[in-house]
Amino acid sequence: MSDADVLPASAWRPRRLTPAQRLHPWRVALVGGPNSGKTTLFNTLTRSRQKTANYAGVTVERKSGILVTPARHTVEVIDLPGSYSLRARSPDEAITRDVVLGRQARETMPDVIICVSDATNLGLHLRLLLELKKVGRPIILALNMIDIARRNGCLIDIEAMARTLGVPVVATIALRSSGVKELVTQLDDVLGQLTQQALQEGRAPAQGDSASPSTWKEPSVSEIRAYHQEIDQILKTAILNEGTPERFSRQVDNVLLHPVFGFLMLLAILFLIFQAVFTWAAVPMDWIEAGFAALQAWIGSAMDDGMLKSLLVDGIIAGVGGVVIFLPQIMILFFFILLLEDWGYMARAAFLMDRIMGGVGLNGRAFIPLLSSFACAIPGIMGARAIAHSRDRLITIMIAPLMTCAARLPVYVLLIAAFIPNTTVWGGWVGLQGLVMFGLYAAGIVSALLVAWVLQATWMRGEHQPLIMELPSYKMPSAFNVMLGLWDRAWVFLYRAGTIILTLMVLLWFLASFPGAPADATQPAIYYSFAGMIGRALEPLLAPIGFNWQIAIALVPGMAAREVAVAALGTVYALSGDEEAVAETLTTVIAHDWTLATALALLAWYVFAPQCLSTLAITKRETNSWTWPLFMFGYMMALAYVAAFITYHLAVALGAG
Amino acid sequence: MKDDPPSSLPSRHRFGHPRNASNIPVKDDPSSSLPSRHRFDHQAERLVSQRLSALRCGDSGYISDVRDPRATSGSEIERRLLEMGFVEGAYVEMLHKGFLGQDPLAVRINQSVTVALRRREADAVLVKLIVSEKR
Repeated sequence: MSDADVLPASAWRPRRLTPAQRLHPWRVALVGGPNSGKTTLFNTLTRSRQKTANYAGVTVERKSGILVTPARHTVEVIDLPGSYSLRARSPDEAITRDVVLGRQARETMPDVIICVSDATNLGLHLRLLLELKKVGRPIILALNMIDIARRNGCLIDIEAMARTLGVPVVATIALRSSGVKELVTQLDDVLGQLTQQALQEGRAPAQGDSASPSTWKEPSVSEIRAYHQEIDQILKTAILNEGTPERFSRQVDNVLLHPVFGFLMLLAILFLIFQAVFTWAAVPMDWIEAGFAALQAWIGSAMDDGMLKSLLVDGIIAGVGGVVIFLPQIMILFFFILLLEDWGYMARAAFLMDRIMGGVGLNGRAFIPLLSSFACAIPGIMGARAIAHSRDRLITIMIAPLMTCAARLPVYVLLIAAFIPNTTVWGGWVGLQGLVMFGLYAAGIVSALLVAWVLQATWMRGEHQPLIMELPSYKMPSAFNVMLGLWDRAWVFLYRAGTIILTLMVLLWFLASFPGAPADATQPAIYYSFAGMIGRALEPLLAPIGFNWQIAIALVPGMAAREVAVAALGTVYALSGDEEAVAETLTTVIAHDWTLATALALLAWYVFAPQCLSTLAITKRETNSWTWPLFMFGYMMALAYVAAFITYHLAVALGAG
Repeated sequence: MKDDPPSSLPSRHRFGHPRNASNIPVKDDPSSSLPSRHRFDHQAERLVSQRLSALRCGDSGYISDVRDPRATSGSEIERRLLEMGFVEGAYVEMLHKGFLGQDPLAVRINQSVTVALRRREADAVLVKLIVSEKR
């Protein structure tokens, strides 16, 4: 697909909107099934002029963009969540219904509705159009993916269809300009008529109007059957030749959905994704880390010592670096998610994983986000966006941090090296240290599944969600779509989550640096700081689980990220030097200073404890409220405390105290 | 389940044939996946009714009833099935099954859309299986 086929940017989008254009754009809603190519059409219409926000009070994302038509109408295009019917089967579909009917808070009713249908599956998609006709707004039907229909030999009489349906019909191929230009021309016609109407009624155009009242109500089962009959009649007149059904997808599925081979392919793909997020991302992450360290050194040498320098170097630059370093993993994960979704494989992956994940009430599409949480929960939580259903998405976000992330490894390695003897068990086959590490990983997974099961059985009980999902035919992924999607995610992360993370990091730096040590200090400086005071205040609470005051203090700056605990412990024990030297000395120090029971309790603590502010920040961004991150913090803390308590007292009872 | 006369099924399922009487050439594809003897002649074919979940891979038939056995008429499952295209008279083919307990199922409706659903929902769909001679 050459560049000439994609709409040139200069064609009808002037760089700057006039104030008048900006204030009162026409509102056009894109409504259609989940696999109708609606988002690709949206991307083609609005290109980079897109904005992602949230609908008021819910976790559903609001995607809108600006389009200026050849007739100089400024249009705000809103991409609504995919739905086969206006009847809402999930909170996401409820948004579609509410926006279309004008019931959504702070959203005015759309002026025009563009219904996007998959031309190869009209039997399934046309029902939405029939329902939309009852809403009373001007509608344009876009028969998308018409190229695939033609390739199958399917001939559709567009005029006949437009006549029977009573709405303008345009055949579109979302990525090609030909059909889309026609669609925009048709839109211009409709907007022109609306303007005339407004002027005749003495109103300013595009400012909302007296719409004919909606006669839509939820169809009953007999009405749905009646719709099917009606669609049959319409298709009889409009489809001249049904063509032969597409074989390619079925043949590929014979392999990819094969009980044995299909599952192996899935494992291979999942392994590839995991490798990419875990290993390949490490290269750019190292560059970023080195880059920021160089920046810190440069500024550090250029400035005098003092509060401002510390704020800049240790607070702000370290904070920004701590945000940007997540980007490689997020980009790589989303690259795969967008690619697989565009291609059509995600539905197959959900199909194969359904039996396993459905058992604990998880969605089949949760597997990839949860898998990448083994590298880092941040991209995993963002990747939960691939799950269409709100409740399943929330549960996945809630349990993602329990997956043993890479940041826990430095803590695990430190404690295991200091306390677990390097021996073998079971007749020399298994190393004890490796066994403990495996046990920690297993504890993370099992607890995540248990928490998911408890959540879906009690608090987040929704209706029993049957799995009835379309397996779309395989399509070539579009580089344009993927790039736009990646850009969107990067922006959302940096701007929305990044600001929260940076603020929290600077706050932590402040707590750990002030007030400074007094002149006659016997302990390291951190003892006298606010962080130290908090830690010492927490000590009596943490004593029952075997934590001494050094651990208590180290856990406060340790909230920044899990691996920070090692450096924080080094600071508390007044060790200096680079990371590795500190870790090595620390191993000996704590081996002498702590008991085995304390170490085991700390291990158990780290399996569960939410020692990662970035996770909480990204949860806030993805769930659009503070309730969920607070809930996550609360339940994880509770689990951590209970687990550490049980581990400590069990260990003491068995003589490890 | 009593065999209803085939004339009660909607007559839409003649694939590959032109809708109107004009001279549009018809591609007569002998390898089309529909059984070629696609006439409603109930001496030539035996139409056996089964639950959709009982079909084997490669089986096909016409939906005769959509009703949740565990609930009254008009239940949520029935609605969702109807919404996805599982309506009386539709032509279904069983394509694939999951590897654990043959759950979920992948079914093709009217030779266009492919839908995945669990056994539990598939129990609500009754299909008149087309049993061809070569079995």
